[in-house]
Amino acid sequence: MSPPRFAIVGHPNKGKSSIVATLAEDDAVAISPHPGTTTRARTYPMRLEGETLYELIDTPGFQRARETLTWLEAHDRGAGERATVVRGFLEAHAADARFHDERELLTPIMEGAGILYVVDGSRPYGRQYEAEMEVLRWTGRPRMALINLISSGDHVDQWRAALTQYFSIVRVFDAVRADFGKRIELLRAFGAIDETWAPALNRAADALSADRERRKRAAAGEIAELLIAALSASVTVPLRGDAADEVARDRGRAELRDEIRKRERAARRAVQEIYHHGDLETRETAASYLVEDVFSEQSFNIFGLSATQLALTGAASGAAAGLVIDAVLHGASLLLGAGIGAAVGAAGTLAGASRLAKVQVLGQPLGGYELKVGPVTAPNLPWVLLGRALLHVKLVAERNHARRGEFVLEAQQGAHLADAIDPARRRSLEAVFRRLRGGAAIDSRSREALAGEIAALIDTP
Amino acid sequence: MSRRPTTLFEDAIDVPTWLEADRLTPYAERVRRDRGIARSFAPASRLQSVRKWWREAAAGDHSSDGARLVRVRTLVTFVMAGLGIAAGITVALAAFRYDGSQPVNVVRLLALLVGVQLAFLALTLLLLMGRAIGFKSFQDLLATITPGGWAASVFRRLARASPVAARLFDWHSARASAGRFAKWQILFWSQAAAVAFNVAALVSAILLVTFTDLAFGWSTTLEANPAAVSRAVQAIAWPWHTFVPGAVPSTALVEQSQFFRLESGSLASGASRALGGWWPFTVLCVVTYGLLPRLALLVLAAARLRAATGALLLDEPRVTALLDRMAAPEIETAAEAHDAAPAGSPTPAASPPRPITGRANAVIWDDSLAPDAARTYSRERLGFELASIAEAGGGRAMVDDRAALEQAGDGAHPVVVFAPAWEPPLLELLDFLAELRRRLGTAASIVVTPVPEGAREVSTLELETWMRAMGRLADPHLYVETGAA
Repeated sequence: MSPPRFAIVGHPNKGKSSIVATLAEDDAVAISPHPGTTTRARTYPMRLEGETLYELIDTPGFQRARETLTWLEAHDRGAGERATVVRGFLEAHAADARFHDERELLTPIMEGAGILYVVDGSRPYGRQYEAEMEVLRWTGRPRMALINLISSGDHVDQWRAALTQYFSIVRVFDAVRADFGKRIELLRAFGAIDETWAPALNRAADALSADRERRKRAAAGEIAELLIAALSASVTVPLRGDAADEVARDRGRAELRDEIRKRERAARRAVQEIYHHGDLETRETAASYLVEDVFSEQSFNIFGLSATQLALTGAASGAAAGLVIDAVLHGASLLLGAGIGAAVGAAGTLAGASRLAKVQVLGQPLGGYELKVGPVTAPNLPWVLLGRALLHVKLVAERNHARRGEFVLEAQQGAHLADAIDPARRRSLEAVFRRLRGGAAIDSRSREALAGEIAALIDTP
Repeated sequence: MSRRPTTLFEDAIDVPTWLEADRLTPYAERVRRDRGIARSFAPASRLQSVRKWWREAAAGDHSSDGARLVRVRTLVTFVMAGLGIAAGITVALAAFRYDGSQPVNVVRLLALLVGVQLAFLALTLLLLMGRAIGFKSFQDLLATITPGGWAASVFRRLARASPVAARLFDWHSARASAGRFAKWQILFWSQAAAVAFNVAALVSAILLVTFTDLAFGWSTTLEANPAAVSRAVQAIAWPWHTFVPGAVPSTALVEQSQFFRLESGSLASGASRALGGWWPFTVLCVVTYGLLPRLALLVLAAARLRAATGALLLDEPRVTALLDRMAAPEIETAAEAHDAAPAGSPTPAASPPRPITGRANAVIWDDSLAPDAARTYSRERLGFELASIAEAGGGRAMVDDRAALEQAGDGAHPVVVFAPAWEPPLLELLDFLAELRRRLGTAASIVVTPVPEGAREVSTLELETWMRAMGRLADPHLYVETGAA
């Protein structure tokens, strides 16, 4: 049996291509604020292991619907023959450039595609749409109406009342803001247009969901590896004597920071590969927060935990307690005072920088000394890395540009991403971080547990 | 203050550009300004009115694309003339080449200076013909290979900074006037080069005849007896045989001057004096068949180019809108009484009253407004009193559209077409506007007014969408105006 096919049709510039881009998960669909961007019908198949599960057909908008309807009515031979009359229209106008767009959109329908009629619910309903809907009714094909919301107006009720006159199924679908769950839900709903299509569509929805779950787990695994690698990283710097001067210490810390930056970049690349978004960084200018250096004040402010949160998670216990006291005495330090924002001053930055990691002078078996910097002791660094990685994976996983914008906006408004983490989960994550900071080895079960926690965080809205 | 005198070409470039930027000026203010300027001078032709208006409106505005393009155009004309002169001298020297061993062959000379030129002239005339079916691609080819076509591409390159210039030379430009302008400009440049070529060739020939001792003869491989050649020569010389009988070679001269290259001694040495008698004939051939037709074409091209430049300025939606504003009758409205309120009146300064720009027929497309709202919108924003209102599009049948066309297209008034700004302009509306234009004839203005949804204003994106769509109609007397303050 041939896979279900859906022709996305409607007035020009009402978001047909946006719907196709969202549902087909294809960024290559041409979308423009100017009408008439789509000039030819184009098919976007959804394939699973070589098998096409369904096809979406993006079409140009109606341009001469009333004239088309006038022709159909003039050739009417009764309700039973209407589809034949539509075919007659296509044949009679096969070479007529005036009806190019009508031909492009009606042909796939007459070849068996279901109809998804798209309107813009943010603009008022007008009677000029009636000819289009009537023409679609003449095709006799199963059809559903989608109320898309392009701008801020709300005329959904008015539209719904009109659309139900022509369509048995009317749904509101905000193509630009819909998340993955909504998209899957809509896909399953297409099955209601024609019940013979439901099994294939359900399979497609299941396959898409499973695929998304798989990618999420893989991405969570990459992030877990990043955290483990970053927290256990250390660098060594050869020393002239047995004493480490400030220059050597600074060099060691700089090298450690570079090492962590490198690992973060590698993890991002891996996540992008998982979601087939290798070129995200070059395209996605909105994600400026991710371009910000991991050790910058801003990164710590946005992605780190507050002093209270740190204390509550137990990060302040043991060796780190002194730092917390320090922080309290000095007002705030960069690494601990995340969330306090602008109050963090230059003194805090310096204090934080010098407390990045453990520094030891080690004697070499063959003589000479070297300085070992690491592993990282700064209690907030894993949280900053985790917060950045979570934002990154959300941006990458969300093909929907409007939703990406929302994540970035949240970050810009200073919403601490760590706040969204449930306290119990925060404590269990901190336990792992503490073990890593203490230099303990992490077995594969713990790794999996960490990845599981991170996967759950990716799902957190 | 008036600005310096400008050329028509300069105005044709600068006025539309200036008017485009002027769109940001509130509509009421534009009407008041343009009507004011129009009243300051005596009624004149449409072209003269626009140019007089321009001198007043943009007084002091000295930065102009037009002035730069005028300079580039003059430069290109001189370069074309220079190339013509160089070619003329080169060809004349080749044609009159005489080393004393053999006479200058009149057959070769006429072939080079007259035959080739007549062939080119025929091609030029072909280019001048309308776009005849069957000739189109050949004409396109000619337009590209003609020296004027090269000049146009040089001009385009020199004037690259201005997108206006690039548009001017598009032979297939959507606007008929732009196509006409390009055609005549290309022909003008071609003729300038051709006239310079002929003048240079003539001067070179006369100088050679004056300062060197030339002997002419004729020779051909083809079977030709002197009697036949004589008859041909008489026919060629027919145009001047009554005015300059001395420039018609006699049969005796023709017989005497035939030579064969292998028989170098066949010309009697004493005959050279007589053989020089060919020169007035050759010079008059060049004048009659080379120079004069090209001069005539140059004069014709210059006149048509001027007319086409005028049309380029007038066949422009923005200029049509300007002329409509200039011609707007002044009708006192109640609102204007506010302006006359005594100074110090406690009434807050209201927005200036809308000028009344006359009467119009209206078509409401796609139920964009209720008829009463259309009347108010038209009066308050556009300053038109509506003489009639018809409705089309929307849920109506096509037959209703025809009735609306019937009603609005009486040609007595301009037509305002109200359409919903938030909807894209469909081809269905473009069909309607094309049919409306057909009924109105070319003179009446069609004003397309995208109306906003509810209380908001038409957005920039919406306006841009409408202007682009209406631009596709290439109708010089159809323009988009929202009347926004």
